[in-house]
Amino acid sequence: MAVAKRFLQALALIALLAPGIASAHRMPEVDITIATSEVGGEEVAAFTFRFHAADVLKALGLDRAVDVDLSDPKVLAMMAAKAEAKVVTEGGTLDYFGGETDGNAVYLFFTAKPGTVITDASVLSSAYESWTNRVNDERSGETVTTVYTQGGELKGHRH
Amino acid sequence: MRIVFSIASLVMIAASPALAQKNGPTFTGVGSGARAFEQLDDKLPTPNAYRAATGEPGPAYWQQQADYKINVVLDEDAKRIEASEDIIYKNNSPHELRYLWVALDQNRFADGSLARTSERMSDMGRRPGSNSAPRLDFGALARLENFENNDYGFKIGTVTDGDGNELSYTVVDTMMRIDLPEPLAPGAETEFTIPWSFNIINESVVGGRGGYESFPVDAEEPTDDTIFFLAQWFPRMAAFTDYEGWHNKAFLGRGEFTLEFGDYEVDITVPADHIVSATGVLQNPGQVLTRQQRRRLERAKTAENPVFIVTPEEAKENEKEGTDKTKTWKFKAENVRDFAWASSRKFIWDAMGFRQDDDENPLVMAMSFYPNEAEPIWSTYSTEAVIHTMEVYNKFAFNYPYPTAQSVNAWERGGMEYPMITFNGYRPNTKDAPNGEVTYSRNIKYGLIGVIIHEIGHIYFPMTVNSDERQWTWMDEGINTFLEYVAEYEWEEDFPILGGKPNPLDVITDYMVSSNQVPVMTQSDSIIQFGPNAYSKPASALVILRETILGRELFDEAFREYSRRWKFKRPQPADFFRTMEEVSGKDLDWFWRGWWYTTDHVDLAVVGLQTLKISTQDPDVEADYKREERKAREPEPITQIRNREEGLTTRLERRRERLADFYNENDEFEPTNKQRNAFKSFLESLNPQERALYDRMMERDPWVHVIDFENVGGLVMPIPLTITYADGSEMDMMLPAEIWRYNAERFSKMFVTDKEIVSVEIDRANQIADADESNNTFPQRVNKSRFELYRSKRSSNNQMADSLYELDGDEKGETANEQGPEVPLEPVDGGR
Repeated sequence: MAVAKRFLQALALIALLAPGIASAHRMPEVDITIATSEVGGEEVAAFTFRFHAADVLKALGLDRAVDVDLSDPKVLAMMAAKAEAKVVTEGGTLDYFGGETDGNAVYLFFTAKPGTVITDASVLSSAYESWTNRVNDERSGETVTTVYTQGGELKGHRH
Repeated sequence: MRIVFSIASLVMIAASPALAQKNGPTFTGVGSGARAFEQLDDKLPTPNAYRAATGEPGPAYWQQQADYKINVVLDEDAKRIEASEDIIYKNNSPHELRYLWVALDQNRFADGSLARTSERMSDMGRRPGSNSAPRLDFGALARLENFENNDYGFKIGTVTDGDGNELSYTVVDTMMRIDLPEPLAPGAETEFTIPWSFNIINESVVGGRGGYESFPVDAEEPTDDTIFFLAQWFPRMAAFTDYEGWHNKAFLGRGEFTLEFGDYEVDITVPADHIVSATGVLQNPGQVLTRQQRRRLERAKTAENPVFIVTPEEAKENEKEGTDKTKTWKFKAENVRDFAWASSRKFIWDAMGFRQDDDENPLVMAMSFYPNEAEPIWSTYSTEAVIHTMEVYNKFAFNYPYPTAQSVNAWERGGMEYPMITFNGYRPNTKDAPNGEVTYSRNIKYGLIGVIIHEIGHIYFPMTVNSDERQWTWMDEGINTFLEYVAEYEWEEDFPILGGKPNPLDVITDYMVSSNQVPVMTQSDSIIQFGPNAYSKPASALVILRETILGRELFDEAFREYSRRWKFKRPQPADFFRTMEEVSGKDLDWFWRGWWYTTDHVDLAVVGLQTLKISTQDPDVEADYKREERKAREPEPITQIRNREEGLTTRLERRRERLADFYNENDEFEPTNKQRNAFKSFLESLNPQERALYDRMMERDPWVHVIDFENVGGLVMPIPLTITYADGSEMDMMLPAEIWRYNAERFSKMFVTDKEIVSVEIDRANQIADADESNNTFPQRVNKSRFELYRSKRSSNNQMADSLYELDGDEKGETANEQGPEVPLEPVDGGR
């Protein structure tokens, strides 16, 4: 049992090192919108991820850097790779299409085969202890929302 | 409960999402408008002697008072509080009280508490599910282990009355009932003493409203290099109100609190090298501050910039040592509903006086306390943000009501408010910079400014306007977030207010259309999507109410009156709703009903534009018009055209001489004398007033337009409308929400203009949070999604090719031909 306890303590230590503390001012949320579009004449499922820039910087470990250009396609592609890894889909896989910044918001765009759905999402979980991914699927004509969240909405929020 | 995890189990706990389908618009079918505009009588409590129908406190309004004298000792090594308090409780209610209830919020962390036993997986930092790889985050595991290894919650000693007689009490989770030996009569007061102690939580691990934070945060064991911030730390008199009786909602961690106002005298004994920040005013600076610190504090009162009372260098030096000696800091606070404090040898302390035109508090000391780890942004922005908040909030509510306003850096992220003191996050860092430089991102900066505005703002709402956050989170979070937005707009333009954008109305729509949500009027502990529900949705609604529905003049006056009426009192939702209506002179029940009681969203559509002219009724004038109109509406049959193209001749053409008659020479529109006589009779039948109007209309020859709207999202809202005329000129107007009062789903509006309208647009300035812009214009414009826009941009990057396109010009279509007027109105160009 002593070994087990040390193991737990070690994990607790890692916990404090790894995920950081949730952002208060900017609630760590990602809005993912799924719509139908076409690319090259072919129908696709179009996935739009909207982030707060601070969360992108945090997820990339660049939140303490001074001169990060979030419009740099390489930086956006890095974030896209991170985001894609935290999304589980059925019916197809996400292909990164591109990204852009607008003020303090960052948008990442993915395509997938029509009918592709998200079955799990934990984008920002590597950066925050608590986070929320809100998926709005607009393809049926009505918005169907799935909220993936962890850690509740308490810690680190403004109260 | 013992929980054992294997390595595999750390990544094998399943996850499941919350999933729900949003219902369609709430008000549909026959009577939809009536129901959308139904008065809120079915929702609001009946006015009474305590709360008037006007939204103000009634003539018999009352509230209790609880005064405290507290002695508290901080055991730094044990991370523990030992304390005792004398409470004087005054019963201002008309009720005889046989028992009193006391709130024990620290019991939230106790083993077996309702908060801990009712935690969901997601509250604990893990979530179960069926479709994906399960997992548990390390922070949750650390928290679980911390609970296993520590004994949290209040340890209450012997409770005695003013004469030293023991009082019996019963602890019910985070509440404690004290039985009185004699009933407490209306107007009477009682005094009793509660001794208590508790182990302070490691807030970095457990998470809470207060606790301690050791530096470095990732040390294996908590160190003595610590900031203590004590919140909800003493047994506090529960609220006893006219609307609820005794407050009996246990503290589950989210729904904050409401308490009674009272006067506090608090003696805080801490290590002698600590600096203490607390609710109230320090009573013994001569005993706890150096002469130099006192001189600096005096200078800060009139300084133009924040003055260091403890400099960064002094704080750094201070934290190296430590001491076995103690000092007792004595604070007094009057008319506050709570008391919090922070203590550390790490604190840098800066201060600056804020002057306001106020008899009671002409000078407010704005102060900030923070460790060197928070520099340099804290000394630059914290006290400045505190003062900015007071400058802005004073305009919208009332003068800052206390002598001090403090911002304490107590954690890396987060924010929490108490009277005169706030705990705020955001720090720069040196760890990841290449050479250990202190750096911070733009977002850390604005995050810090924003959170300080928000938390200092809470000293107005709910610390002074004493709403009940445990029941109605929006009453302080939503209202305060609205004023925070206002203050951020006044800090600098394009402040990233919500979701990284300066216009919260551009961001809130994602939440508003989402299907997994509950109304704003939901008890705090049951809210789904807490942040948007309780903070940004009501705040966005108030932005719309101010800028679009009421206008600033009406809104600001009503909001100030609400603040004035309920300053140091206890409002309920109905009091806010009623006051805003009462003072603005506008019925807003439809607005509260839609935004607060439903999950509908804003999606207004313009679906049709008919263009018409007024008819002259003169058959000679109208004939050609009617022929043209028939031609436009009923094109020649394709068979007839092809027959002619093939050279086929009709029988009439072949045998015209024999077959042609009157009807072949005159079409159905050819005026007859009978019609001419009828027109003459029509003119003669007009009285002089009607004839004059007819002549004016014939001379003016106006355009008549009918615009059709649909309410797709369900929320009835005013329509900010931009009309574009054929000559390119534009006109903005606002159609009031009352257009939906008969039919909440569809509405048509007629406009008589001297110029032809060629297009109409809804909400061009994004001022009503309309979620779908694609149906906001007529004729419909292809309105691309963010994805589509990006795709277009990406696919068109050949500038040379793009330059060969012709410039879109002014040729928006010619004005319709001068056509003979006719009565009744006739469509132009085929209508919609």
